[in-house]
Amino acid sequence: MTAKELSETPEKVVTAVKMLYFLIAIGVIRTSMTVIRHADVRSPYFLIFIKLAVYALALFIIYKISKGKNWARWLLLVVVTIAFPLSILPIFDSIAHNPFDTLLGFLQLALYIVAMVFLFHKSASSWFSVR
Amino acid sequence: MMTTFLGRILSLHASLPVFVGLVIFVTSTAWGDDAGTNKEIRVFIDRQTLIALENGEEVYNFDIVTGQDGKETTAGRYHIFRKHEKYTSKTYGSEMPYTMFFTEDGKAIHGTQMATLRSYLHSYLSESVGSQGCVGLTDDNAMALFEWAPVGTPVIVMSEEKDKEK
Repeated sequence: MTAKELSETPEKVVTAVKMLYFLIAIGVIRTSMTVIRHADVRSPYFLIFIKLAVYALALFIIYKISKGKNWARWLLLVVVTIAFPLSILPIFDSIAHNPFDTLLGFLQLALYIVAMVFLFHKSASSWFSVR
Repeated sequence: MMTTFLGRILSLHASLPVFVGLVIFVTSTAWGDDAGTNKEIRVFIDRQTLIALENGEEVYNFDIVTGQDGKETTAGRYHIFRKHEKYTSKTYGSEMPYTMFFTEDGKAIHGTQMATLRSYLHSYLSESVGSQGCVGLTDDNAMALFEWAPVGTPVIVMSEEKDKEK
């Protein structure tokens, strides 16, 4: 890889970062749907507080990834690895009674996998290693 | 005249069982969901899961969180006797959406915060993250179960550990 190539953000990283921002948007939609569904019986403040904290942290990590921080890439990998089994079973739970939410949930998981593959692609790894 | 009168009385007596049978049939079918279908909820404390059965077929299979140490959800056979879509615990002041009470001492199936995460932690790490004795589900799952289960639905709470003690 040339010095010029290493100075430019690889296409795979750019795409992965865009996908990660899109994932946050899907998450906001799913949270909003949950809040609306249960608005009559539960105050939404706790859920909104937790989700805002999670999204703020996620945005920070994605921003650092876009700037080439290798630790942020690995931190995201650890978080996704832990969150994956915790997310996939509840998604199956909701197939019977909330198929749209299930669809969005599967879309999120699929995009996370693709984004992580892009972030750990050879060209991306070379770029992260020199920054 | 007399024979006609007696004949009518005898005829009424003869048709009485048919009439009673008809009343029982009509009332049993009129209750529909409550009495006509075979619904059942089974709670597995050790696995931290709940299944809902209808005519022996599994309808739902949800992660749950049950009672923490000292406030265990007690194994046994119960039934849902009261439902509240919106409810606040009188003891703890916490929100209990889609509540279905199944014990007289206040244990219920209801929606709870972070149910899935607590369910896994309860299963694999520590029972201290459990509930105050109720069966907690995610709000979405609690809503689905609330709409599915009528008052009178049997709730069978099972614990392998308790069975071993016996």
